[in-house]
Amino acid sequence: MSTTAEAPQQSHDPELERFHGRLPWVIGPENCATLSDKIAGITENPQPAWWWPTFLGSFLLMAGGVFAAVYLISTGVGVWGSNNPVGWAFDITNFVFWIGIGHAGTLISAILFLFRQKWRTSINRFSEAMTIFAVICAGVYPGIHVGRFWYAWFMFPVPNANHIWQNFRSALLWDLFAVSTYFSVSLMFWYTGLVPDMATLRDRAKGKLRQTIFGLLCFGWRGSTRHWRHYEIAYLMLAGLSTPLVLSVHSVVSFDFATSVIPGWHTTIFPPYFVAGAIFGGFAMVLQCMIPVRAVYGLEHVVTTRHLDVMAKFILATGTLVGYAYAMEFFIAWYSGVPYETQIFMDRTGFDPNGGRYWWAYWIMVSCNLFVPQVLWFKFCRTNPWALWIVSVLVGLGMWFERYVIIVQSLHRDFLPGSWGLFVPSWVDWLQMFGDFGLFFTLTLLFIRFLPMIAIAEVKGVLPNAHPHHHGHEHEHEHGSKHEGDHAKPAEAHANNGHASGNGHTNGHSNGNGNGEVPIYGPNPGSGKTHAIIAQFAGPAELMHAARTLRDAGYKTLDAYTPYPVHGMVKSIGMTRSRLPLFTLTGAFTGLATAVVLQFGITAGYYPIIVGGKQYRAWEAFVPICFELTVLLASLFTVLSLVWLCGLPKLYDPKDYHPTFDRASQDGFFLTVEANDPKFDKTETAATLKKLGGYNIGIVEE
Amino acid sequence: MLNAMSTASLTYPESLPDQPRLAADRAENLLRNFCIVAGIAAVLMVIGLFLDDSPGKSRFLFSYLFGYVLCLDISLGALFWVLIHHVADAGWSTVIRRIFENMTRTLVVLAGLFLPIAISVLAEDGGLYKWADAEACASDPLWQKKQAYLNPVFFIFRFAVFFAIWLAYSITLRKWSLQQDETGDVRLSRSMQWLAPSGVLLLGLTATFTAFDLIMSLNYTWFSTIFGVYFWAGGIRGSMTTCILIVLALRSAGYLRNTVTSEHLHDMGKLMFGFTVFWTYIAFSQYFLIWYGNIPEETQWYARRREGDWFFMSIFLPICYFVIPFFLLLPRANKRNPLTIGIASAWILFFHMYDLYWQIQPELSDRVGGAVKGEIPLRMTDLASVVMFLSILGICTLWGLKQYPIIPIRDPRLQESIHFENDEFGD
Repeated sequence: MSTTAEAPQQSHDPELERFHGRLPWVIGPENCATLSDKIAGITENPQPAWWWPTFLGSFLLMAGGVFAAVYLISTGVGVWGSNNPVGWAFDITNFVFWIGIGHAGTLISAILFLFRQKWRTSINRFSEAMTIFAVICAGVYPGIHVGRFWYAWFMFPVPNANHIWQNFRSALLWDLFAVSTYFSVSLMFWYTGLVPDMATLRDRAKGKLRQTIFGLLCFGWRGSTRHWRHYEIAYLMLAGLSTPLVLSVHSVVSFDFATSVIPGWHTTIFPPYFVAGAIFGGFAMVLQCMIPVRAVYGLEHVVTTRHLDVMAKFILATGTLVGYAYAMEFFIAWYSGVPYETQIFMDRTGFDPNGGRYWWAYWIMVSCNLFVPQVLWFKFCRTNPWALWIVSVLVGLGMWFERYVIIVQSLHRDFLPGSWGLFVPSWVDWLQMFGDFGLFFTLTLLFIRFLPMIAIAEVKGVLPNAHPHHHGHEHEHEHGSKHEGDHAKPAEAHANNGHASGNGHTNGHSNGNGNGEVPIYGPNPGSGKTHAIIAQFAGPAELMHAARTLRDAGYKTLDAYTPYPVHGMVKSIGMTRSRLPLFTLTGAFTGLATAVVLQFGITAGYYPIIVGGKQYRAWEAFVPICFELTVLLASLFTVLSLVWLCGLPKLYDPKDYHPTFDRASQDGFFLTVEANDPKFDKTETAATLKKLGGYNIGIVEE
Repeated sequence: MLNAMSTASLTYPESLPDQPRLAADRAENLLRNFCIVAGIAAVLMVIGLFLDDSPGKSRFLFSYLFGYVLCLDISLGALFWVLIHHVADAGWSTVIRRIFENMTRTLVVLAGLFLPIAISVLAEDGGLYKWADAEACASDPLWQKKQAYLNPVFFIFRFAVFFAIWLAYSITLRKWSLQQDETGDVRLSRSMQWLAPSGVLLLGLTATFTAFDLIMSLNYTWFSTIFGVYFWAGGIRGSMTTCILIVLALRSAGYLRNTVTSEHLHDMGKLMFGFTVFWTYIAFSQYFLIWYGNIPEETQWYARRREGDWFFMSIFLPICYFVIPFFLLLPRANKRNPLTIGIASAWILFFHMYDLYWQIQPELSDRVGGAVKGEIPLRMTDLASVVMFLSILGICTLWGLKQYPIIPIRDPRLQESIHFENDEFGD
C-alpha cells in the first residue's frame, strides 16, 4: 500500500519493520494440517518420560489433601490453627488465592477476545482449563471449612426444616452465587471452545472407542457454516457475559471482607484491587505452567516469545495496579485520621514499635507483587522464559501472602487488646494447602494428557490468510494486488496437500461410476436416496468464491464445512446473522426476574428478617445475586439455544461416507449442495463445482 | 480535492480518502464564535464574582471549580486515550488520535486557569476549601492530623508538579506526532510507544491525587480509597464522548467521512459502553461498601446527597448515567449509526456534568451561611462556568485542528486504521 511506498525508508531496522504491518502470532511453517498434527498429537502419542513421575507426585500431594479433609471432618475444625480472634486463616487465604488464580483464564478468553487480542488464541484453552481447576480447588474450602460438610446444602437457596431461608444480605451467600456462577459459566465457555477441537480428535482417532467418545463429547460437530454462524455469536455472547462476571467474582469475594467494619478490610477500593490482584496472580500461574509445558512439548512456534512478552506486560501492569491499591490503602489509612486504620497499617508494615508480628509477610507481599515485577520494564526479562518464570513464581508467592496479610494480620489485632492473638498454622493446615496444589496439578496433567491444550480451531483462525478479504464492496479500490498475491501462494500449498490426501482415499471408489464421472458414496452406493453433493476446495478463498457463485446462481441449500469459522462465509452461503442474542437477552431477563422475586419475596415477604439494621426493602444488598443470576441464566440460555439452533447432537450424517470429508475438522474446505435444492442436478452441479476449482467431488446417499 | 494544500508546507500522501485539513475560513469562523461564547461566559462569571456576597466568594468558586474539573478531567481523559493508544500498539484508533492530542492542549490553558483556585487557597479564608482556613480549623484534631498534606503551599506545589507532568507528556507526544506528519519517520512511533507506559503510570497517580485534592478535600473529613478510580472512570468516558461529538461534527461538515467510518464509531461506542459499565461498577462499589459498613465518618458524604432535593438528583444519577446509556449502547446497530451514537454521547456528556455537579455542589451547604441544606444551589455562574470551560476546550482543540492535519497523515498505522473493520462474527 501507499504508506510503505511513501514513508521515507531511512532505516531498515527490524524493530521498525513491525510498524508497517502486523506480525503473525504463530511463527514458522505452521498451517492447518501441521497444527492439528502437533496439538492433537500430544493427546494421541505417549506422554514424555517425566509425565508419570510428575503425575504421581501431584497425586500423592492430592491424597494428602484428601486425608487432611477427612481428618478435619471426622475430628472437627479444632485441628486447624484457626482461633479466636483469627477465625479465618489458611482456609480463606487458600480459597481467595485459588479463586484469584482462576481469573486469568476468563480474562484471556473473554476480555482479550473482546479487545481483539489475537495472541490469546495460543494460550486461552490452557488458561480456561486452569480457571476451572483453580475454582475446584477453591470450592473445597466452603465445603469443608465448617467441619460438617453434610450441612453444605444450607448454602443453597432452599429453606431448612424450620422454613428459615438463607440470609440474602450476607456476603457469604453472594459468594456462593458468584463462585458457582463463575464455575458454571467458565465451564460452558471452555466446553463450547472445546467442541470443534474434540471433533478434530474424533476425526483423527485410530480406534473406534476413541472415535465414539469424542464423537459423543463434541455432539457430532462437523464444522458446518450453519453451525459456525450460531457458534460464533454464542461465543461472543459468552465473552460479553464473562467479562463483567470475571470482574464481579473477585469483587464479591472482596465484599466478604470489605462489608465488615474491621480495620484493614473495610475500604472502598477493595473490589477493583482484588480483581487486579486476581488477574495478576492468574497470569503468573499461567506462565508458571505454560513456560515449562511449551518447552517440553516444543510449542515455541505457537506460544512464542512475543506471547511471553505480552503476558509479562500484563503482569507488570496489573502488579503496578495492585501497588497502586496498596498505596491508596496506606495513604487513606493515614489521611482518614481513623486511629484503628492507622494502627493496623503501622502494625502491618512493622513501623509500629509495639506490634508488627506479621511485618515479614507484608514485606514479602510488597516485594513480590510490586517491586519484583518492575524488572519487567526491561525487555530481556520479558522475553527470557526462565527469567520470566522466576518472576511469576515470586508473584504467585506474593499473591498468597497478600491474602494471608489481609486476613490473618487484620484479624489478629481485635479492637480490644484483651482479645489480641496470633495465628500459627497446624500440620493439617499445611497438608490441606499442599493438597490443593496436588489437586490442581493432577487435574492439569490429566487435561494435558487427554484434551488439546491449545485451541486448535481458534489458532487456525489467526493464521495468515485464514480469512479471505471479503469486504470488497466497501473498500474495493483499497485492496491492492499485494493481497491477492498473498492469497495465491498458500492456496496452492493447500491444493497440493488436499490432492495428496484425497488421492489416498479416493482409490477404490470406482463404484460411483454408474453416474458418469461423479463417484457416489453411501451405505449402498448407487441404490440409496441422494442426500447431497460434496466438493473440496483448496482454501477459504476458493471456497468462498465458489459459494458466492453458486449462491448468485440461485442455489438455496448451500453449506460450507471449514476447520474454523471463515469470516464472510455465512453471507456467501446465503444466510444471515444469527438471532441467538435474543435468547441470551431472554435468559438475562429471566435470571434478573428470578433473583428479584427470590430475594425480595423471601427476605422482605415470606420470612422477613432484619439484618445489619437495614430495611426489608433495602435493595442494595440484593444487587450481587441479581447480577450473578442474570449472567448465569443468560449464559445457560446461550449455550442451550446454540445446541438447539444447530440441531445438535447430530451423531450420524450421510456426508461422513465421503472419503475426505473428515478433513473438514483439520485442513479441508468443503462445499455441499443438498439434493432437495431446486437447482440441484447431479451432473450440472458437479460440473459447476469442478469448474470453480472443486475436487474430490462426490455424491452421498442416505 | 487536495487543492487547499498548495499553501501548506506539507505534501499529503495521495492515498488519503479525505482532505486532512480544515478549510481555513470555516475554521476561523467557528473559532471566532467559540471565542465570543467563551468571552460572554467569562463576563458573566466576572459579574457573578462581583455579585457573590458569600464569605470567601464560595458560590462563585464552587461554580468555577465545577466547570474547571469538568474541563480538566476531559482533558486528562484525552491524554489517557493518547497514551493508551501507544501502549497498546493500537491500529484502529490512529485516525482519531489527533483529536485527542489536540484536546490535551487545553491543559496548557487550564494550568493558567488554576490561578483562582490557588488564590482562594492562599487567601486562607476557606471559601473553597475549608481546610485552607487555618484559623477556623485550628481546634479540629482531624484537621491537625491532616495538616502535613492539606496545607496551601503543598497543595499548590502538588498541582505545579501535576501540570508539569501532564504538560511534559502531552506536549511531547503531540510534538512527535506532528513531526511525523512532515518526516514520516517511523522511529517517532517507536519513541511514542517508549514514552507512553510511564505516562499512564504517572497519569494514574496524579489524576488520583487531583481527585482527592480538588473534589474529595472539599469535605476534608471524608475519605474513600476508590475515589481516584471513580474520577478516572468519569473522565475517560467523558473524553471519549467529547471525541465522538467532535468526530460527528467534523463528519457533518464534510470531513473524515471515509476516514472515520461506522467501524470506528462502533469501536468508540463499545469503549463508551464498557466505561459506562465500569463507572457503574466503581460507583456502586463505593456506595455499597459505605452503605453496608454504615460508619458515620464515611456515610456523611452520601447522607448529604440524600437530603432534600439532592435525593432526587441521587436517584436519577444511576438511572440516567447507567441504565439509559446501557440500553442505548447495547444494540450493535446503535453504535454504528452516527445519529444514535451522537445522541448517546451527548446524553452521557451531559450526565457526566451532572455527576460532577452532584459530587461538588452539595459541599457548598456548609460554606454559605443561611443556605438551606438539601437545596440544589443551581445558579447562573454554574451554567456560565460550564459554557466557558467547554468553549475553552473547543477553542484549544480547534486551534490545533486548524493549524495541522486533523489525522496523523504519515503514521505507519494510518492505512490500517482507515481500512479497519470489526471482526464480523457470525457473518
